[in-house]
Amino acid sequence: MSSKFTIRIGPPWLTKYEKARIIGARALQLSLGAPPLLAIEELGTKDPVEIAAMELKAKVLPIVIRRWTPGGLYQDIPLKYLEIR
Amino acid sequence: MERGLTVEEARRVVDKVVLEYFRALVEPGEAVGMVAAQSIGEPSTQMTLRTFHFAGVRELNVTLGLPRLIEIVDARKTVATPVMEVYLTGDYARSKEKALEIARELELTTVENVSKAITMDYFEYSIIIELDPEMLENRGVSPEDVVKVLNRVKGKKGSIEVGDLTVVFRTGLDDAIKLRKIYDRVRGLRVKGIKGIKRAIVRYDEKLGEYKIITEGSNLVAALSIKGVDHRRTISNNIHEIAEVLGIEAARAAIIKEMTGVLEEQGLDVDIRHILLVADAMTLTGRVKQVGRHGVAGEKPSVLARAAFEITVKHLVDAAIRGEVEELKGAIENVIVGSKVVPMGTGAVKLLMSYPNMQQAPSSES
Repeated sequence: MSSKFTIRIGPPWLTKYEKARIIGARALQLSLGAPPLLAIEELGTKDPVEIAAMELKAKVLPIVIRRWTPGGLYQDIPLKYLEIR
Repeated sequence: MERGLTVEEARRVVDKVVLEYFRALVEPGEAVGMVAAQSIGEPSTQMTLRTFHFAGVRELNVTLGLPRLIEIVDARKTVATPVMEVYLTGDYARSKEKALEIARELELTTVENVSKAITMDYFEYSIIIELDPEMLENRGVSPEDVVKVLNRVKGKKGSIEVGDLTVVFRTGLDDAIKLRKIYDRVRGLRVKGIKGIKRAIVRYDEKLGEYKIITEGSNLVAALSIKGVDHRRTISNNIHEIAEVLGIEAARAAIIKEMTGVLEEQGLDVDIRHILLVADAMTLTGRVKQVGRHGVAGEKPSVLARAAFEITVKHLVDAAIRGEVEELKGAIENVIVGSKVVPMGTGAVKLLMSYPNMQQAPSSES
């Protein structure tokens, strides 16, 4: 991967909607029995939503965000380039 | 440097400011139009309770409150109470006398305004105008001005006799009905001033420390061409007139100014960004559009969005005849169709799965 990745669409951080969507999507997977990407013994919770939030924070989710404009342009942004807050 | 900052520190300050700016931005996906509509709509319901029609601003009647807000948003061609704020340049702005001079120049003065009486003489077929010296003085008009105006309408047969303070206009006609017609015309003849401006009042602007003129009635083109009028600041409250004379950006600024003015006058605190959005939506095509059937809402690309607003059946039928395609891109269409996700907020986020260990696998929707 080239290190010169620039975000052309949207802010350089994860928007609140993106964050909600990712946690939601991941929590659904977990609730359906997907293996967590973190060691749950250390997390101290079994709530899929909480686990999903921790996975997002730990940047272990292999998720790409497709940001788009109303004009039809889009850019695929891997999670690791976005500031999570 | 002056504040004892190093370049490095100054840069950090700038970075912080930039960061704070970005933090204040609305995040993509936010339903800004909805929020703007509610943020302006709710306070305007409170407005009705307090004042309705007119609020007397000293001598002038200006539409304010909800009726005015509706007028702006509907982008009415004719304003109920057109008003101009005429700013002056140099000496004219500093002295009251000079300002009054321009006010007289603006205010429409007709023959009737400067006369005590205008009578018809049916025997001689003439019109006798008795001038009022007080009004002449007041309006800055001389009897010669009146004669000059009359000369323009007298025609071949007519003649004018000038007395001390009476002007006799012999029409040379032989028909009483025609005389009557010309009598009405003479009364309304413009001696001085600008068409459409009923009154001009000189007022001292304490904030600027200068005199300005408020006019009842509006005619920007004519007002701007008068010497002493500051064409850079003079404005009207007729948005269409501004768009025509000064351009679309000026119209946008005018919408913002008028709307904030109404809301502020009512003591309502609405964030300017909501108003900016409305003004932008109204002007982004290069001409002023109303927020409604014949403008912003009526020109939406989606049939269903238009049908959801007003005159449903007509929109659907017209779209069917033209063979319009529904792209289902907007929020309204998706709500109607019953999509579980609507392209707003979380629904606007598209997620893909990346497969880091499989080199050639293409990205696919998760």
